[in-house]
Amino acid sequence: MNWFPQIGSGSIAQFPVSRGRQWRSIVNVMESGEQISLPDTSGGLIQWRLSYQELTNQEAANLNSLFQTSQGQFAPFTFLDPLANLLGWSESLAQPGWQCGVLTVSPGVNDPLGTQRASSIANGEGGNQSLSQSLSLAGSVVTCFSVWLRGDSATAVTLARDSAQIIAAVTSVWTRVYVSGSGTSGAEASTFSLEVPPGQTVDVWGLQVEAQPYPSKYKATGAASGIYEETYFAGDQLTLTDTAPGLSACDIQLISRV
Amino acid sequence: MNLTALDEQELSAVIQFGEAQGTATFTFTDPASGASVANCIISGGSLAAGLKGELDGETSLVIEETL
Repeated sequence: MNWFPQIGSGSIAQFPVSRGRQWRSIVNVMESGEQISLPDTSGGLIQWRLSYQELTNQEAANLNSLFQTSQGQFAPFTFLDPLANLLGWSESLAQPGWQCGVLTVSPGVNDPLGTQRASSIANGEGGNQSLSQSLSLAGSVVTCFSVWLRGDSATAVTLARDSAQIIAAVTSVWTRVYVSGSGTSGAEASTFSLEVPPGQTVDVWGLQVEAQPYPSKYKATGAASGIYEETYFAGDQLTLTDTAPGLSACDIQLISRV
Repeated sequence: MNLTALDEQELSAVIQFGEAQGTATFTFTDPASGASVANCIISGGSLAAGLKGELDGETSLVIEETL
């Protein structure tokens, strides 16, 4: 599967970016004038408008290469929503998708916003235990995995994407930590995990994975979304404009089937 | 409804709402009267959203009451 390229900074898009979501319904108008409408769940799509400025030659070549490989609007590729938190159920750690092992997860804990949307995770075992979620993200994709942490007693946890990890200190003050970069070379999926030492309890909130090198504002999620494996160029023409020596600009429209 | 000057979090909340609802009905609070209006849908089956800058998100959608 081909992936829409990240530009040199690791970002998918530059400002401005726009997203148009369309749902399709099957509508039946009865003789009486009554209208019955049902959702056509396989007919949804998202239209993207991306505008790039000051692309380097390599970045422009990457876009052009994908366009050539896709033969314009013919073949699909995977596009990552530049506005999304790619994790599913970011505030419901008991939902399928999260692997908690033998950690005890308690929701309804005070969070940095003053609401009760954080969770407490306790490790009562004798060894390290992990909270993790796997996503269909190739190892080559640069991501930022971030989370807010606090604990009643000082400790340290491991935040990881596959084998790339950082050790984060946990204090009584909410602190946001993140691990950034690409994953395991050649991997078809990536696992994002938070490892808690034995006998420790940590409050967590704002778990987020983004296809960019640094964290943006936290976005709460429901079911996982944002990885669109059936995305097409909306047209058969890609226009790259040279704006300065070694720099280009282009506007791209994509369509993701949802 | 045209919402402007949204940050990423606010814009994401609207997008998440749209993704969760799809073509289903929901209860909408009329911003003028404060009344709860049942059986509303996102009209036209579309939701446009955009981010022009870090604190410059915008979205527009039409909410329709069905009878």
